[in-house]
Amino acid sequence: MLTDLEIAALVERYARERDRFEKLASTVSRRLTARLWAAALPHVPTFRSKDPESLRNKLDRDREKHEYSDFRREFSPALLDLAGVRMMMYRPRDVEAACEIVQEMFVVASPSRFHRDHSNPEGYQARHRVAVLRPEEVDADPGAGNLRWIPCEVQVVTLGDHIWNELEHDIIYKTPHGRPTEVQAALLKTLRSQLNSVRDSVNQLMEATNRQRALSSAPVQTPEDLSEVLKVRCGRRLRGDYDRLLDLLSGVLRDVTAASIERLPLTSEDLDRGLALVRRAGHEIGVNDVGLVVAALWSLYADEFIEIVRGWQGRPGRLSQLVRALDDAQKAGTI
Amino acid sequence: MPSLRNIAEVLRRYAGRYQFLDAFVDDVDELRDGVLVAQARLVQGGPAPRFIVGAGPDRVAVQVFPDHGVARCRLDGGGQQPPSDPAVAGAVLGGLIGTALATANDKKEGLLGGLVLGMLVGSMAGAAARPPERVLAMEFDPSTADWRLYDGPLLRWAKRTLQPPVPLTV
Repeated sequence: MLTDLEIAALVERYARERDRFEKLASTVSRRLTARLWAAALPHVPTFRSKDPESLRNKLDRDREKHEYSDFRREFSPALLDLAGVRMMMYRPRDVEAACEIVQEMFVVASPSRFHRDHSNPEGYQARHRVAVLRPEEVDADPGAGNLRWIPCEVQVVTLGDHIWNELEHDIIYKTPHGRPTEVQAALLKTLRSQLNSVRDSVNQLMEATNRQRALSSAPVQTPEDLSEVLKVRCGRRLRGDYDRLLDLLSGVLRDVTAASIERLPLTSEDLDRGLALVRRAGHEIGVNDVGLVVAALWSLYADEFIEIVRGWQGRPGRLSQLVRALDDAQKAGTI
Repeated sequence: MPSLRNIAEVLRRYAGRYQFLDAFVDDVDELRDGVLVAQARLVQGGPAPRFIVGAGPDRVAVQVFPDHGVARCRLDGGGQQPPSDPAVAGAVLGGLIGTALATANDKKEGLLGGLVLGMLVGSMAGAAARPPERVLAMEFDPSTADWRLYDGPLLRWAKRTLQPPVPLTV
C-alpha cells in the first residue's frame, strides 16, 4: 500500500520525467494519424501526458493496489496511461479498422490489461490498446532511446461516444463521491440512447454520401475518395495504405476517377486472382488488403509499379514490400 | 532540353507499352528552334496534321496541337509515305509551331521552371472494351540527356495539361 509520502514522491518524480511521456504521446499520435489518413479513416487525433494532479488522485484512489517497489525502475507496468492518445473516429465502422492499425504499427501485448474493448450499450464505449514503440523503430531513431518499452494508452472511440464518456468521466472523477445523482443517471441514460440513434444516422448518412461520391466523375484526390470508389468497384471494403495506392494509380493513369477505375479489371474475382498471384509469389497479405488492387493490375502495370516504388523514399511500407515480392517472384519465374 | 533523338530513344525503350510521348512544343529542341520546318514531310492533313522527321537513326511522326501547346511524337514505322511538297509542309508546320510556342508558354503558368516533362501514353492491351489510357510521366534530365520517371508534386497537373485533344488511335 502506498503512503502519502510515497505518493508525493512518485508524483514529483513523474513531474520531472513528464517530458518523455509527452514526447511519446506526441510521437504515437503523429505516426498513427498519418497511417489512419493514409488508410482513408477520417478522425480527430488528440494526445496528452497525464496531469500530475490527476496522477496524484489516481494513486490516492488506488493506493491499496500498489506497493512503492512496483515503481522502482519504471512507472509501468503498474501505470499504463501516463502517455495517452485518443483517436476520435467519425464513423463507427472505422473503429475496428483503426484498432487493427494500432496493433499492426505498435507492440500491443496480448493480456487483456493491454487490450480492452468497452462496449456497454448503456454506458462507456471505447477500445483501449496499450501500445509501445516497435524496438526496431526506437533503434532507428536516436531521439527515441528513452521511449523504449514505455507504454502509451491509445483510445479509439467515435466522436459521439466521446461526448458520453467525457460527461461520465467528469461525474466519476470530478465530484466528491464519484457517483451520479439520480438526475444525472437519468440524463446519462437518455443521452446514451440518443447517441446510439445518432450513430445509426451517421452510418446511414455516410453510406449515402459514399454512394454519391463513388458515382462522381471528379478526380479521386484523397485516400478516402479512393476507398469509396474501390469499394463500389470491387464489391468489398479494402484496408491498407490508400495514400500509396493512390500514388501508384496516379502514376499510371491519366486521371484517377471513378470512371477510369471502373474500366480496370478490379472485380471481386480479379482480386481473388490477385490474391492467388501473391500467394504463388510466397508473400502474405490479407483477403481485404489494398495490395490486392496492385496484384490484380500486375499483368498490366508491373514495370511501372516497380519503377514508381523504386523512387519512394523511407522505410518500405506494405505496398512497397508487395511490389518487391512480386518483382522478385517474376524474376525467379514463380509467377 | 530534349531533342527528337532523345524522344525517339525513350519511345524505343518503352516500345510495346507506350506508343506516344507528349511534350510541350517549346521543350523540344527542333520544334522550339524551327529547324524542322525545312526538312519535315507532311503525311496527314486536316486539323491535326502529322509530319515525319528524321531523329538520328529513327524517324519520328510529330503532331502539333497549337491550342494546347503540345506535340505528340511516335516512332514512325518507316512504311511508304505519300510524297509532299516541302514548301507546303514547311508553311503548315511553321504556322502551327508559331501558335503552339505561345500557347505552351501560357499553359505552363510559370510552374515548371527548368523542369521538362513528357507523358508516355499507351493503350492497355487485354483490358476492358474502353480501357483508360496508360500514362507515365517522365522528366528529362539534361545532365544525362535521358528521361526518368517523374513522381513529383506537379504530376496531376502535368497529366491534365499535357494532353492533346485526340484519342489514342492517332
